[in-house]
Amino acid sequence: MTEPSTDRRLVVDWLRCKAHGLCEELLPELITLDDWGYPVIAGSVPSDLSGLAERAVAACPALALRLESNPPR
Amino acid sequence: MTPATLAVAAAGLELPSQTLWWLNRATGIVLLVQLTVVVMLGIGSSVRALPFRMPVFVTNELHRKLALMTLSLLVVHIVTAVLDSFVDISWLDSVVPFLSPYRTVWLGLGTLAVDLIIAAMITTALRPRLSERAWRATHALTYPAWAIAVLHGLGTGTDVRNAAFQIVTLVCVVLVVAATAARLVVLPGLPRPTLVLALVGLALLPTLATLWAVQGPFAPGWSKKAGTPPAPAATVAAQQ
Amino acid sequence: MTASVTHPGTDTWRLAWVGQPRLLDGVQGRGRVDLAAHEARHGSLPPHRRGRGTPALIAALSASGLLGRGGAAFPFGLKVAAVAQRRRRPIVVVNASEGEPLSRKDAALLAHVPHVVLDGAQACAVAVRAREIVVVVHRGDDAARSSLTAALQEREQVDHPGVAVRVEEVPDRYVSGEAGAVVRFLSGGQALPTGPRPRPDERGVDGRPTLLSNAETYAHAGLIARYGPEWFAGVGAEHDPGTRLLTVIAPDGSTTVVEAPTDARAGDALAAAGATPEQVGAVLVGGYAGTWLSTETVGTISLASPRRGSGGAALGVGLLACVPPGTCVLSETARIAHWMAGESARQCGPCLNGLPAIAVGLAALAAGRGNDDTLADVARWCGLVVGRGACHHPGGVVRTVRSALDLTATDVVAHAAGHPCSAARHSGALRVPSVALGAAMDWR
Repeated sequence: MTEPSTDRRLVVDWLRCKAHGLCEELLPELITLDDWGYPVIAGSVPSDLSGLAERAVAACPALALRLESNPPR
Repeated sequence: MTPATLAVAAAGLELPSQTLWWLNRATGIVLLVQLTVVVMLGIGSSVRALPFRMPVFVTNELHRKLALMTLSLLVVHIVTAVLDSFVDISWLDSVVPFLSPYRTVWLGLGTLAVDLIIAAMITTALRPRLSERAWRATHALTYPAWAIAVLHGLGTGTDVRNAAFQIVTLVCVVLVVAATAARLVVLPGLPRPTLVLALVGLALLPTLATLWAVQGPFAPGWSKKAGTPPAPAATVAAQQ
Repeated sequence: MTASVTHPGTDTWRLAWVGQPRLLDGVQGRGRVDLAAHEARHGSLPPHRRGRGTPALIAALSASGLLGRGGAAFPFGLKVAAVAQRRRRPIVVVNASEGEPLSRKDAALLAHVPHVVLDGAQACAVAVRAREIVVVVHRGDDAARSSLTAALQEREQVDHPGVAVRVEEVPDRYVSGEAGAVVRFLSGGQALPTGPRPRPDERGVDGRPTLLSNAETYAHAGLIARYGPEWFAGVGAEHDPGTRLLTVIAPDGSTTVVEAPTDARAGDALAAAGATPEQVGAVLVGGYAGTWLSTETVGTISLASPRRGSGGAALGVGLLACVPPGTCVLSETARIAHWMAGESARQCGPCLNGLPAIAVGLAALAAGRGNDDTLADVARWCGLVVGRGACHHPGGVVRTVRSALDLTATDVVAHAAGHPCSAARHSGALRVPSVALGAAMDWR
């Protein structure tokens, strides 16, 4: 289960997130919801989920999700 | 009616007025139902405690896709009205309200509703560049836009005295009023007095509208009262 | 060496120092150091040099190794250099809002030695070509505000042509003193955190590059401008030189503001405040968002900011709050967590939901009403609120909570088994303001 990971990760804009939960429905492999419905992001985006990640970003009704390049180590 | 036929019509060639008129009415009724569903889905997207278990993703995507479909149907609805030589509606009347001599107020309301809906769609497309507040304010205008569209349908609708149409309209109004009331009740941070006021208003408006409709569009003689210019009214009266 | 100067009024504190005072130099026997006394001590005010001397001061600040004294310990010279490089005209903001309820160091600075702070602010303003200085205090901080206003009048009377200074008041809320919140407030918005981007030095007040630092940082900068970086780094630790101010809350509840070199130990500061080890049960280091340490541990910790990656207890805003022996640290922390939950900006879901849950869970544990599940829940919620929000408020609370649980580990096992803490019945040792969770807040 080791897909090559892209150098991107999903980042939540906490000031916008209203716990709609669309992101988790679209991308349960990367996103789980905490006790209160807010997203917990697990790790970088693997290449096979890249398209879905972009779709999740577009689908968020609060525009609270974005894709960012990983900071250099 | 294929797109090709419509294109021919737009080129200025004559199409049977009856066909255009029928298309306009059909799209009008479908639009009423469609707009109602779009508003319901929009409310369903913003409220997390939904009575029916639908995946959140579905509700939101359906809202957006259906809203776009509504736009296409609106184009047909407007084009058929403009092309129909039977009534004096120009291209300008499709964006600037209250200019047409045909049932000025009631047609104008339709134009106004379209303007508000288009504003909501444009701001959604430009949402990343706008402040959250600006987007919310414009999107909130879709509530009155829906109501204005319903009044437009009652005021200009040829089928307004048809029982089936009346039932469809009633169901749509009940659904949106109920959903809006639910939305207001779960809205966080709304002071009690404001909530009560809003709910009272929400109950009052359709009641008043119904009372008006019963002695207005539903009663005989509405066509003239609505401002239908003399010639078409006489022809319509002869047809009935 | 201690000297006691009592600040009169309802909000009282004493001043003390370890070794030679630098910031507090001049207060002995006088209380407030006015402009005349300030000039007698440090020389007349440096002439206002527009444009000249700019690179020299920035170089001096960098060479001095001065780290910010507002809690983040960021190299001040770097920050000034970054702002000086921007094209748009910057603005200088002196943050004396001191949102930490028990901290008094910034209030003491402004009340006793306002001119040291103003010197620093003026020097930095010249260095970054700013034409405006804003000093931010919190509403109700009358001692600081009145002394500051008097100091500005004293300068005006001698016609010193410095950069224009104005004083602004932010709401007296914990998160309102956060850099982003201050910037937002000064730009006409609410005093609520805005998230990490944009950084104030990039786009701050009214979109302009903003040099925003703690009042004490400016005070040190003012002395560096006079006496040079070698003098500054002559005392203190190597990676965090100079002296720093600490607020020591003694076990009896009294407050002392202590100036000490950074290579001194916390035990020295406690002693300067008159607290002996037998009197102290445990110490909350850093602030409400801090770390609980036992008396034995705290005595030896260095007053310098921990080096990156060393994992040492962060000194935060320099608070050392002692509780007497026999205090239930867990129930004190429950009260702190409850108050901090009430102070949430409520902009982000995890903080808004998680902090009250943690507070309630902790209170249940302290009262013996909790069990192993409660403990597990609190631990899970702690993990869920760290790093998931626009500011570090929840992360800070979690640090305090986790350190409390560590410190009282054996007791916690007993609590989880249903035994309440015998000390939990006593009224709180730490002065925690009481706020109802969910009360309406004023952010303007």
